[in-house]
Amino acid sequence: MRVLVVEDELRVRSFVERGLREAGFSVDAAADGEDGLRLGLVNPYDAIVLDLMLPKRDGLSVLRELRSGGRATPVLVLSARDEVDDRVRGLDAGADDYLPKPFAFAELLARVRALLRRGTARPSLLEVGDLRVDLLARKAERAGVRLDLTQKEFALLEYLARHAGEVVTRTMISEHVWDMNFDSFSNVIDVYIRYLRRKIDEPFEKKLIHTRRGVGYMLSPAP
Amino acid sequence: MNRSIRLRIALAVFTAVVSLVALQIVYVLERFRHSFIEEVDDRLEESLGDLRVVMGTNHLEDWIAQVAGEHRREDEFFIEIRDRQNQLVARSPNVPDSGFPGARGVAQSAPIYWDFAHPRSPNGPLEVRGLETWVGDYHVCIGMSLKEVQRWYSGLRRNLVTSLIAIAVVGGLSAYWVAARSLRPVAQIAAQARTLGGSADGTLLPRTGSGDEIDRLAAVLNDLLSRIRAEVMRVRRITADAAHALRTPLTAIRGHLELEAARSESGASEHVDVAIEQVDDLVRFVNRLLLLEKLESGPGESLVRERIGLLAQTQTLVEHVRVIAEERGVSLECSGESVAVDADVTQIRQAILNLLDNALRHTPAGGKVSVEVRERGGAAELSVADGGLGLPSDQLERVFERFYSTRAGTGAGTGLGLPIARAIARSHGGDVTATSPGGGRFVLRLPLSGEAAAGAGV
Repeated sequence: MRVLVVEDELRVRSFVERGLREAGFSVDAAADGEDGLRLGLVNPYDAIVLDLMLPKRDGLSVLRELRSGGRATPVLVLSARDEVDDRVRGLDAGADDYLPKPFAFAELLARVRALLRRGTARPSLLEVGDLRVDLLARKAERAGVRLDLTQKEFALLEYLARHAGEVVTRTMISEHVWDMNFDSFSNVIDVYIRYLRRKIDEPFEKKLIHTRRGVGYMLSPAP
Repeated sequence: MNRSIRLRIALAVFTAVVSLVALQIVYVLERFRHSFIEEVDDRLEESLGDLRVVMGTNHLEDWIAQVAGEHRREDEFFIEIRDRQNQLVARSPNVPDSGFPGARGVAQSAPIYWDFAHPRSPNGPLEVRGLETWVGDYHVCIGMSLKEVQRWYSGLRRNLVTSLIAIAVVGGLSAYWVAARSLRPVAQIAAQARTLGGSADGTLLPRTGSGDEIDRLAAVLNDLLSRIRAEVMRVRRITADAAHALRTPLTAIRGHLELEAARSESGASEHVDVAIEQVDDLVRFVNRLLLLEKLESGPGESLVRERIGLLAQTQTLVEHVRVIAEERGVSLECSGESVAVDADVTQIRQAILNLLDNALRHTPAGGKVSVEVRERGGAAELSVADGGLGLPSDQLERVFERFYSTRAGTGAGTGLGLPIARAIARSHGGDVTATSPGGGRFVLRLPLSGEAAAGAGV
């Protein structure tokens, strides 16, 4: 998978580039709008991470040129959080997702992966190790033992299972499972993770839910 | 305070007017009395001249009878003549037998005037002006009653005192009125100043335009207000700029730390994890600060308003955070009636969460947090009552200041939760206020759906 990162801030570009590379992507980087547009039009990228505030040519303009040039590559727009207008304009101009700064790299990675997964069929049965999550029947079992979960617990487990093997942040969980941003109540998620662990992990020797301190959680058969 | 100034001005004017007029009255009365007595003395001299003519003639008795009779009605006339042996030569019938009262028996012929009270008047003592002198070999005492003077004098005094009272009353009242009138702008300024909000609105104090002292004071205060506002805005801008500038480095720091954490084997990255959590705290703080800046820097044009049920939203949020209340051993209740408001759902949720967060933080284990939604006084009202220690009255407003936090609680917030809740409410044309009926009670008020447009510009 080949990803283009267009970001003028060296400090941000360097870790995004490195991080994506370490996650197994092949990464090209551009430091300004002109350069980004040129690369984007020339190479067949699988996804583009595009900052809005860029020298020479701003991100929105790059996005429009790419789209009018016939490129349907999924684009994740980066921008300062308080510029709500940017979000609207970005999505209007053809962005596929939006990530406000400051962001957690885990979140950027998850969103890029989500963009790449787009269009692929969603399975109705998720399996993580000996854990089976049936999305249609809304039932979960581990090692053949039925798990008695509340609705919220199931929704949380479903989200973790969909992103099995990936770290998901609290922000991602609250936005997708609770459909909102908790801000001051992010520990609500910690409490639910604890409930979930009690049912999924406590009776079993092998733990599936892993904490990435300061980042988030991951559901994975491997630690 | 203006009441006492009004009263003080009125009293001062009253006192000044009364003293000045009283002095004037005393002066006028004295002048009047003085000139009248001069007049009486002239007439006594005149009579003395006449007496010199008739003295030694046999017309003396007739003359005495004549002048005594002539003056009987208005100014009673007294006369007594004695020779060198102090033998009575003649006297008018109204002089008592004991002799002319107050006569001193002068040795020289120059006249001496004196005042005395005549004892034989039927209406009590009669004030009399007397003259004593020698005419040849005869010692003469003549006197005239001052009845007329007294009458005039008392009449005049009565009139003057009456007008004094009238002047004083009218003066005092008009002073009070003028003072009240000229101080009315002060009351208006005070009333306006009380309602002046923190910052963004450019409201100033009312000017009368008269150019008087109070108007000039209002101008000076307005100038001061503008400068303070400019300074506040400058400080806020600096804060906002600083928060802005922090975001890119924070993103970079966080990213690099994450890569570090992912690279190191699990368990070895303890310090990195702590660092990431610290950066997250900082990020949350910066984001809140920026949100507050955005909310306070202007009315919510960027609000995405829709009709939402306040009770339903509140119940959802209460259920979301119930686990936190349970963890802390706090019971959480939510009740009320359905009320619709036009609001930006993301922001209103944020405001409600901030109020819930605040309440849970300040309620000890075993305590209770009660949330109630209802329509009251033409507005939607959401109240969150906590089981904490409550707030002293001087802190009810201060808790909405940024970074203000004195309440003992379980874990410190950023000190921005309540200011953000209030800023969100205000950008929707509502408000958040605090009371302390035992514990703390925070009330979020929003215009009812359909009415929001009318109140939104505030």
